[in-house]
Amino acid sequence: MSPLIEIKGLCTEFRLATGVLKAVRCLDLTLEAGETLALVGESGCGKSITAASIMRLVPPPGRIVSGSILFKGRDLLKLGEDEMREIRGNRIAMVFQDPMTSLNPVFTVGYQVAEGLRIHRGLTRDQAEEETVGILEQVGLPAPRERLRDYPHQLSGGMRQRVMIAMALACRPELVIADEPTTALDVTIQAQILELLDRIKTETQMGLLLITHNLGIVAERAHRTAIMYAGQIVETAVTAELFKNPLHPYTRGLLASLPEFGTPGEKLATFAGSVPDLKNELTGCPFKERCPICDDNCARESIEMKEAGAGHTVRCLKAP
Amino acid sequence: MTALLSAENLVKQFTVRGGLLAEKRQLTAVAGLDLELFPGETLGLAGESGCGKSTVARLLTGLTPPTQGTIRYAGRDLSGMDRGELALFRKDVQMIFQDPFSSLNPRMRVSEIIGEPLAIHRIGGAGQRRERVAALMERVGLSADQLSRFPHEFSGGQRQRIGIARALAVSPRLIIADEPVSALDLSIQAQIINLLQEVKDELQLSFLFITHDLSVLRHLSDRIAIMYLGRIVETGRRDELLEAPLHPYTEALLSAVPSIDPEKRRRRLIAKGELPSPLSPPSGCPFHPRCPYAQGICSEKRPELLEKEGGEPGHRAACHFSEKIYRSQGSF
Repeated sequence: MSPLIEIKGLCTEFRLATGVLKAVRCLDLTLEAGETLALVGESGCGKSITAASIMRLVPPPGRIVSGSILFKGRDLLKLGEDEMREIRGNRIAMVFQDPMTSLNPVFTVGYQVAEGLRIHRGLTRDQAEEETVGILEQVGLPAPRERLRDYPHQLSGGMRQRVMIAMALACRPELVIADEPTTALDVTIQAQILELLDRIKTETQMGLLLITHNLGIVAERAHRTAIMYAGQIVETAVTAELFKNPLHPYTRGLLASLPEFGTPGEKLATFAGSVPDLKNELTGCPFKERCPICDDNCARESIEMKEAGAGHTVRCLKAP
Repeated sequence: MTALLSAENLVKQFTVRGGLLAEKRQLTAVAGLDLELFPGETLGLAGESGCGKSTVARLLTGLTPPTQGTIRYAGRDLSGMDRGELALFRKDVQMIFQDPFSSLNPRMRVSEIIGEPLAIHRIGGAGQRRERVAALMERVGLSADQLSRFPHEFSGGQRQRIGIARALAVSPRLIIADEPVSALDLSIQAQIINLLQEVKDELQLSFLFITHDLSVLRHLSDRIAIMYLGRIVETGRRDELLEAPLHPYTEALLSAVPSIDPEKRRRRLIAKGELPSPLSPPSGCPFHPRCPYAQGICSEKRPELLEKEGGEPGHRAACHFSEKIYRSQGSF
């Protein structure tokens, strides 16, 4: 069986007045149905642009320059805009980070959730409304029928995020991309939303691409994890294996810098320097300036992903 | 030991108006809060958004006057201080803000930003100030060559370092830091946490650290206070509070934090629903509508913040059933 989504050699660039910014550099990623894959990295590493590339919603002046994104064997990058519109919001849906700016303030939440149902499933207004009440109930919005006529500003942050999830799930998509779905929420609400996503995923066997920088969430929710740095995947493994046996020095550094692992009152591990400017041509390993174990070869060679165990791959010359 | 800074029955209400003709209503952001901060310690104040954490910071720095209650600095009531005493208080107590973008004036050069507190408090001559600013820059890990730059030329982590340098400029005794690392990326977060810890040890500062991130809190605090709807619901020594909480809200908060270490994962206690509006707080215990253990009395009588049987001295919780829930076998 082919994977739900298979990304091969994806490159997405932004042509800016000051140069070409290569946000995603030859990225490979696969996700199976029913699986949660976490995509982890710091701001600016290309996580969100990867998501936008899958949806074919890269904002100009960005564009996808090469690669393929196979969704159940069909290359999304070869589809016409009409065909893509059939898939977007219908078979692949997205949950965004900030529900305040991603919901439309001038439409009621009922209208926004029903929109996808009317467009993709051809339901009438009344049918769509009935269906919407059911979906809002499923995502745990209290008193959903009374909420239909509410505008986003009348809801709390947690409720808005539930509405966003309801919108994404309305058409029963096969893949949901959740870009930092709980970053704007408090921990007790975050726990509720993550439970909800997990439950629905189990019920519908959809695939979930979870983009986050919160490693605690990753450890608890993701089957597999891919670590991203400077537009590339640098390590990927089954989540438990990745946390137990991180191989890339960047992954190791990230884990070591967590206060959770530090001894109270003692120093946390940090790495020197900052992320490379993606407008520059990067030769060799993009992490070499900050890496504690690099040598001359790391600057010369272009570094390929290598197998380091069952399902565990790493992009590092020095990794065992 | 006398507290460096203390608050007694602190209340802050804001008047809000729903619409043009709507009636004015009282929003109680802080509802009778007691707090003590001792010299040299770090007190962590935790709670979810809207619980009144940031209002507490503004009250304790004297930026907003309280509606009711007393704030004492080194034993002196803030409201009874004369100009000289107030000036000293404002020098001694400095603040670090959450957002490194909006808390620095974009039109000022870094040298002016860090030097401004020195100018306001008339410390040193122009030459001494320049030297002091350069030394502070180096201390927080930036280069003195960058002093004539503007904030937009720095990254988020570097800006937070500038904010720290500004707070340190006038040699304060107490720093109130409101979510100083939550806007930063993981690897940068660790650098800033280390820097805060270093300057605290070096300058023997007291810290009030406000955050919603419990792993940061655990790393930095000596004592912790948990806030809910404008009140402290539990306070105690760090290890005691984190390992043997006495309030269901603390338990919910701790169990909601996703953990990397499977052994640290707790039985999940999910708080039902959401934070009630401070415009119409629930009767009795403010947590009762979300609490899985709530009984009749919880909606009638508000529990006091008290030491509990079996807890260590100084570990206080505001719950009618702490002993029953946490000190007997399991729950009831």
